[in-house]
Order: sequence, then structure tokens, then C-alpha cells
Amino acid sequence: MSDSDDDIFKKKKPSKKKIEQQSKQQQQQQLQQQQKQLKPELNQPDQQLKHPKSVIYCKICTLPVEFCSFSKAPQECKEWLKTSYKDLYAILYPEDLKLEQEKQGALQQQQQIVQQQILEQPPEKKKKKKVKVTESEMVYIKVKERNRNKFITTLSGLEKHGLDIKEAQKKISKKFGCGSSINEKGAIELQGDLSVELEEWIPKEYPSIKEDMIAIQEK
Amino acid sequence: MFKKLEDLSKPTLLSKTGVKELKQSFNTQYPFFKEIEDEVFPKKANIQSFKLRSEYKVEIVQVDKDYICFTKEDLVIPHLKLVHKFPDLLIKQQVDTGAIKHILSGSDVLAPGLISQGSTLNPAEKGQVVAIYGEGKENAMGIGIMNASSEQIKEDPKGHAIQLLHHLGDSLWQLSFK
Repeated sequence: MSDSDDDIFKKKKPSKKKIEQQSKQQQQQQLQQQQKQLKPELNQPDQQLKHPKSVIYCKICTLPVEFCSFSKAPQECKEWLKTSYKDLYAILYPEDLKLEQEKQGALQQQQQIVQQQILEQPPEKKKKKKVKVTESEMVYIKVKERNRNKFITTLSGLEKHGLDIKEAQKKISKKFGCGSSINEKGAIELQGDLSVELEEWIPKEYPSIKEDMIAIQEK
Repeated sequence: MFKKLEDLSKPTLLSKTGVKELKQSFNTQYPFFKEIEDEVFPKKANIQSFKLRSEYKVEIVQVDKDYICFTKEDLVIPHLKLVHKFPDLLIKQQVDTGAIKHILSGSDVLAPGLISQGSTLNPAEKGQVVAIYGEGKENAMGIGIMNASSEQIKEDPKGHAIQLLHHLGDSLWQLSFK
């Protein structure tokens, strides 16, 4: 019995697959034909596309590329577009391309002059100062879930900047209206999830602590 | 509506009945949805939902780490990325160039912006969810609810015509790029 059952299954399965394959092939052929038909008519905007349409998003402002001019830093977006999608750049900013070509022509002339000058004089290198945050300066904010919707935030690392912890504790509890205490390890414990507010408030209140020095750890 | 999204709760798995209800409400609101149902909700997808603590009865739905839609009371409103993928899902309303700047910063669509030159007002009923397009722009930039029907707007173009719910660059939009 078992053999016969298996046989039935074996016979059934390939037949279904074949049907699917055939139908798929037919669909593909139809699609190809449609696409061939569509290609000359691409310029007509009236044709509705059912398939998912892909939209290119700017990596800097996260908006679709058309809306880059409304973002906060449109020039950075332009440069990004220029490096990654040159065709789109030419469509979206046709005026800029002309200007840039003129500029490039001028720049090349300038560069030639500069190169001549460089040959005569050795260049002076400029080094940018990069502020690296060491671990001894870091301020940590930890968020811990106490019950389902209750949180405790612990602030540690303020003493490294020469601040009085008791004063800071009082200021924070007055500012945000929450209960607070000092840990065994010298960290401030606060009632509620205050990580976002603290991250904004600390650099304003204590200018010696910068935003790069604050790290949020959520659990 | 989504100016600050700091108080998102932890994600919870949506139950099968929850997914069914979502699909049903999608189908009743948007007749186009039937054709793309399997693409939006694949069968073996991990569907999660977030609740907002500040807003009442607002849930955000996530499928395989892509934000799909959010629910507000009885309405289901698609995320803008979904509208970009399937532009026929919503009714399209176009505003003139002057209004684009204000909508991107989160203001409602006022009636004169829908009637002046360069804008198109398609027929829609009161309370319907529509997508907002800009003049000369290909993609949608906002989603809102009609405050009055299109005929009423044509009769006396005054006041807030479309209440904006979700727009490019708001905090829900930025969530999907983190």
C-alpha cells in the first residue's frame, strides 16, 4: 500500500510543478511581450505600473531624490548624488552642470597655475585637529526596565569632569520632577526613562561635557 | 502627529487574527490592495506591532523590519514607502509649488492650495485617506485625511482641506532609515 501511495505522490508532484513552470513561462513570455510593447510607449505617463516601483532615496537627508532641495543641507545631497547617480543629477540639476563645467574649466586653469607655483615652492601641509574621546571622559546613561512600563535611568561618569554629584542630582530631580538617589558606585539613579532628555540637557548645562562623550545603553 | 517618537513600546508579535483584521480593513478601505496583498504580507513574514504611549489607539506595524502602516482608531494608513512602491493604492491630490515647503514641515493642506494653478483636485469623499503630491514631483510627499469632500472644497475654498497625518521627514519616516 505504502509503495502505491508513494507512487501517487511522486506522480502528482512533478505534474503540479510542471504546470506551475509552464504557467510561469507563459507569464514571463507575456511580460516580455508587454515590456517590448511598453518600451516605445515609456514616455507616456498615463500607463499604470502594478509592480513595485523602486524609488531612490538620498543617503544624507533620507528623502526621495527630488526633494533634496527642501532638506537641511541641500549642497551635501547634491554632492552625494553627483558621485552615485550621475544620470539623475543631470536631469534634476541641468543648470548646475553648465555652471560646474565652466567652473571646472576655470579650476583647471587655476590648478595649472597652482601646480607651477608648487613646483617652485614646497607645499605646506595643514593638519586638522581631531578630538578623540577617551574612555576616561565618557558619561554613560543606562536605562533599565523595572516593571512593565516603569524605568530606571542611571547616570554615571559625571565625577570625571569634576562635578559635584549631589548638586547635579538635585538639579536634575528639580528640572525633570522625578525622584533620584545616589548609587553605591557613585552613580545617579532616576525614576523614569529620561535618556533622551538627559542627552539634550547635559551639554547645555555643563559645557565641559560634549555630545560625543555621552553614550546611551538600553537594556 | 508623529513629531516625537520617543515613547515607543517594545515590539510585540501580531497574532493571526490580528493580521486577518488588518488585511480586512485594508481591503475595505483600499480596493487596489487585493492585487498586492501577498507582496505586502508574505506568508512566512515576521509581523510585529509597536504601541505609542502618548497617542491613543495608535499602532505601528512592521513586516520583516520594514514599516508598512499604522492604525489610528478604525483607519489603517499606509507608510509612505509603501505608497512609493504602489502609487495606485491611494487617491492622488496635487498641490502647487508654494505649498510643498510647508507640507514637508508638517502643516495641513489648505483649500486654496488645491484649487490654484498647477494643482489637481480629484474627487474624494469626506474622511477618505489620500496621498499628497507636489507640482512637478513624481513621488508622494504626504498622507492625510480629507476634512471635506472635493465638491465642498470647490464651492468655498477656505480653511483646512486635508488633515496631514504623515509626511516626508517626520519621525516615523526617520525610523525606517535607522
